[in-house]
Amino acid sequence: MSEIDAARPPQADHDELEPVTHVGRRTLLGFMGVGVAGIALGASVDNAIGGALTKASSALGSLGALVPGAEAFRIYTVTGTIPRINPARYRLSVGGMVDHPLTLSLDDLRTAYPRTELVHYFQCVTGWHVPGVHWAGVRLSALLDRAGVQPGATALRFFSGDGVYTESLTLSQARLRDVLVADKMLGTDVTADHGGPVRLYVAPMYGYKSIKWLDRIEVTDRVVPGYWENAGYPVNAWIDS
Amino acid sequence: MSTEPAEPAAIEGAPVHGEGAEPPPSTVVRFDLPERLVHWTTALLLLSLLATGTILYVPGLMLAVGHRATIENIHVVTGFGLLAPILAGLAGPWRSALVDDIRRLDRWGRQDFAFFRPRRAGPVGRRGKFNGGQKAAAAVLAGGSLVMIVTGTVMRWSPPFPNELARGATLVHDVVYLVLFAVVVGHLVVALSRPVQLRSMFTGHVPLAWARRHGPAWLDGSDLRTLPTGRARRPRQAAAPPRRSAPRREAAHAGRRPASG
Repeated sequence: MSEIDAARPPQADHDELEPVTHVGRRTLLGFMGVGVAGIALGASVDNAIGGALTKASSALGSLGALVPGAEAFRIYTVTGTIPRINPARYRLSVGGMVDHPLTLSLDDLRTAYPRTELVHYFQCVTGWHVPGVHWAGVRLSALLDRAGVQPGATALRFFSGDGVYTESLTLSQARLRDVLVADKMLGTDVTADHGGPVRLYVAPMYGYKSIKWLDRIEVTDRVVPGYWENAGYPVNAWIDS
Repeated sequence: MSTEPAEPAAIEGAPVHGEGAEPPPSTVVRFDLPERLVHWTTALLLLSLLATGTILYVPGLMLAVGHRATIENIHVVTGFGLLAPILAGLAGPWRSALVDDIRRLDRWGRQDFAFFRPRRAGPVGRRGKFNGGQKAAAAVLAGGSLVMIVTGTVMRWSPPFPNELARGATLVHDVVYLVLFAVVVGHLVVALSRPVQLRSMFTGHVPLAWARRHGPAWLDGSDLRTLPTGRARRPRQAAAPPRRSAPRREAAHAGRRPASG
């Protein structure tokens, strides 16, 4: 612009017309282009720089949650409060179409079943994800074997201690080796924010399947869609990539 | 006074009150009623989106507020609703002032680029209705809003949209959220510090004297009649144009950044 400035007197006279460029239009189109490219390539960018963003995020302390792409959990709750459940009084009940209904304390869960652990990402259906999360607990299939699933049963319903949230799995999904009733997460007891003392972790599916504050499991003869599934999300929430 | 706009009332795009009895004749319409309605409904929707979006985005707030499904539904409905005011504003014969202002915001002259450079000694061109800062903010808000609607759609319906796309859309949505938040806060800060412009978004008009000082090219309509390309194609004039009657005063004002609102 400097050449043009030099060529033109600063006081433009009244009848002079200014040369214009359509910056507004270009900016708008540019935004759309970057937006579409971001949708297409964002996951790769996230993979490449997510670690760095996470470092930046933790360096910022409480503001770190505002760093886009940081590999941090975002805590969701569908009710007004986070249920605070006393671990000493916690009971998990397994009922419905089973031969031996179970009521398990945290100690029962930790001592009476084979422990299992795995490291796997947590993927939210809305797009954020946390890689390399350490999970530990008991395979759901172990609980089902102990309770004795009756013939004719095909599915499970899960009820959250928040009194509102529910989830569902088919029996064969529930028996997958990477479906855990988890009491440890990120190296410690599952915190209240993350759904402690006990939550579900369904590794091959989106996060909304991993119900928090797990309170009751009911074996049923059909799939009853859960909370988000009634709001339009898929009942079979396989992560496709 | 030969270069002053003699009768601004005759200029299209900057009508002067006078026919009616109510508004004082010494004012100029800056934003007509349809424009103000579009502005305020869009503002309410955008503030609601920023509020619900912030709750959904900031873990501490999400924890304090809860009710994720309700907040999410409000956010999604409001997001699509953001297009309604501007579409309604463009849908009928009441659109003319809005269309003119959109054209003004799109067109950048030398002074708009100069707005973003360090302050210079002399003025750069005559000022139109909007300055470079206002034009940049409008372009970012418009482009950013469209990107938010597209990425938000992918996020809300991520199955059947593949997970990879949802992750990309989330990243873009988060970044543009921060950008839009900053632009809206900037807009509010500037608007609240400019009483004349702020009032005009409620009443619609500004004093004629203010408009003469802050937007001469708007008053005479030349900010809509500019050359269509970026090249300087204007014919050279042989004789120098007559000087303004009060060049010192004009230069002093023109050297300052145009007040924006």
